[in-house]
Amino acid sequence: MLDLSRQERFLILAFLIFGTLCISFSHRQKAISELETVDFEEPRYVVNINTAIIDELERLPGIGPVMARQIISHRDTSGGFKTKEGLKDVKGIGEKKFEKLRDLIIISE
Amino acid sequence: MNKRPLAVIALFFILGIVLARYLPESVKFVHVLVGTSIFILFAFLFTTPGPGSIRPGSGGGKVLLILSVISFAVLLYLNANTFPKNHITNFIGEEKIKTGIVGTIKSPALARRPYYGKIASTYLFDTEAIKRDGEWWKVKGVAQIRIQTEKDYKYGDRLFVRGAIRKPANGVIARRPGLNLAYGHSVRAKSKTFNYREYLERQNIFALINTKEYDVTILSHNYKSNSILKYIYAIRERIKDRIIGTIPLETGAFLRAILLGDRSELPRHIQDSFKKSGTMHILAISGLHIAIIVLVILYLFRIIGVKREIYYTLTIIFLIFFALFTLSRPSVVRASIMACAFLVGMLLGRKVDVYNSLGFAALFILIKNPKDLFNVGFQLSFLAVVSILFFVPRLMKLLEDYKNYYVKKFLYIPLAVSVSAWVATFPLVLYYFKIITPVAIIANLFIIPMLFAMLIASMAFLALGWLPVLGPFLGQVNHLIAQAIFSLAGFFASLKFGHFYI
Repeated sequence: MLDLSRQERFLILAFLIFGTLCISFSHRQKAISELETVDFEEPRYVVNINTAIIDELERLPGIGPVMARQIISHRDTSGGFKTKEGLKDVKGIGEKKFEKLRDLIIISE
Repeated sequence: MNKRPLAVIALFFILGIVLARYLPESVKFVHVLVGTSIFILFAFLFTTPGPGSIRPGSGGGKVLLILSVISFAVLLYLNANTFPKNHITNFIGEEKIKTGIVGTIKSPALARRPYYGKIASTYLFDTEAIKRDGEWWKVKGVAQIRIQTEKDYKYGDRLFVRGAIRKPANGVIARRPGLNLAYGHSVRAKSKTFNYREYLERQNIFALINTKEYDVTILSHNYKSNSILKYIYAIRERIKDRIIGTIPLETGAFLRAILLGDRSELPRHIQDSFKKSGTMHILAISGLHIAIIVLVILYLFRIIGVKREIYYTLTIIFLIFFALFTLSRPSVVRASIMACAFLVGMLLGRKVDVYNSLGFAALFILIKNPKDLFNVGFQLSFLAVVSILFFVPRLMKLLEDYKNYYVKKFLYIPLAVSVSAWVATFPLVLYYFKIITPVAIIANLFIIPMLFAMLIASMAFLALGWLPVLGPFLGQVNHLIAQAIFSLAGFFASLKFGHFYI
């Protein structure tokens, strides 16, 4: 079993040595790796209030499931929002709340 | 075994990997590294001629060489299971965490199927940063991401995702069909043999992310993307669209399974009938498909009359493309490597020893990913091939005196292949899938020739499907063959005593 010529043995051993070096290097790289933080600017979460579903609306600040449902029913009865300001017509959204939302919402058909 | 060094080395290499898996925790990488170095050093001394050498070529040299191979395998396995500190697994747990993740889509949709009533697509996702405790951390490692969406994301899309991330389930669960007939789909039942986390980790996937379209923001396209892969994936999408556009539903799903390696849309009842008739292997692109495809290509080249060296090389290049084309799924890569090993052997013009080629393929696959050894597919395909290579010539020898050439070629040889493959694989299938399918021996005799026809028809469709009249015609031909395969599989699955669940 495994009757090899000298050249063949050299070849195998050379491969093993090379392989062992590679593995050791890769292992060392893993061992010295450090935790790093990165600066990443999260894209702002924008909601299209004319197409959004309840889940999406709920992610906006100050809007819970009840409010989300109200926005949707208002949208359905009034035939969609024409302007961002239209959101103020929904019961429970005043000037103050709207200012917070202004940059987070968009309007389209 | 004298002329089969690679086969022997592969066996010892496998032994090393098995050893590494059951090694106690206290044995560390460094210990094995020292051991390996010593073995290699002494093996070297035994090989070098000169005054200091200890009888070159003696038994001691062989033993040391074998020990070097074994401990090298252990080293490789241990390294494959070591992760850097910033690896994604260190940031997540069993329970899902809702957080933000940045990464890049690394594949076209692996699967597209309804998930809680909505369509969701699954992709490979190379993670880059994750938000934990209010900070963004740099991470490494591949996750599988499921996005609930009607849209299709592309290879190279860099995404910012808000979603739930967790480790794959470590529990031992498996799908077992037929238990919940009312819903017509399988039910998760306890099984001791299938572990989803290990299954994914063997493919170097370490996390699952679940999200919805509106939680995904595309940051850029073609981020760090490879243009060859991009091109191949674009062709893949085109073919997928053409199949969806021109071929009826179930047949289309079947075509996508055997050509693109995506069987997610093949109805469960059809998959079940393949499983119960013992022909499930034809749904996974494996050695059989590759062998058929290679045969067809070699045959075509021979008709054209190209030089042997050229067409072997072209076939090998084609196989590499095909493996990339099917998203480098382990089964395809395995089969392609095996086929390439045989082709290279033939190209070198020597009288190739098939076991040696097989050993080379095994070594190549396991050095690339030693964890593959514990993959059911790896075990089944190698066992089947070894068994066919070993038993078929011996079985045919028994029939040496039989004169009728056609009966021999079209009945006895296929039967011998079918029996040998089944004999070697049924214990494993029984262990992993809890099913035993004696009907497979007969079923495969009928279904494999059909698969042959199907692959030729589908390749013709791929090549000529864009033509106005011929395209739809070829689509119909594919449809007919696929329907015949489904009914055959259904028939064999319904036979009494054809299969037993244990």
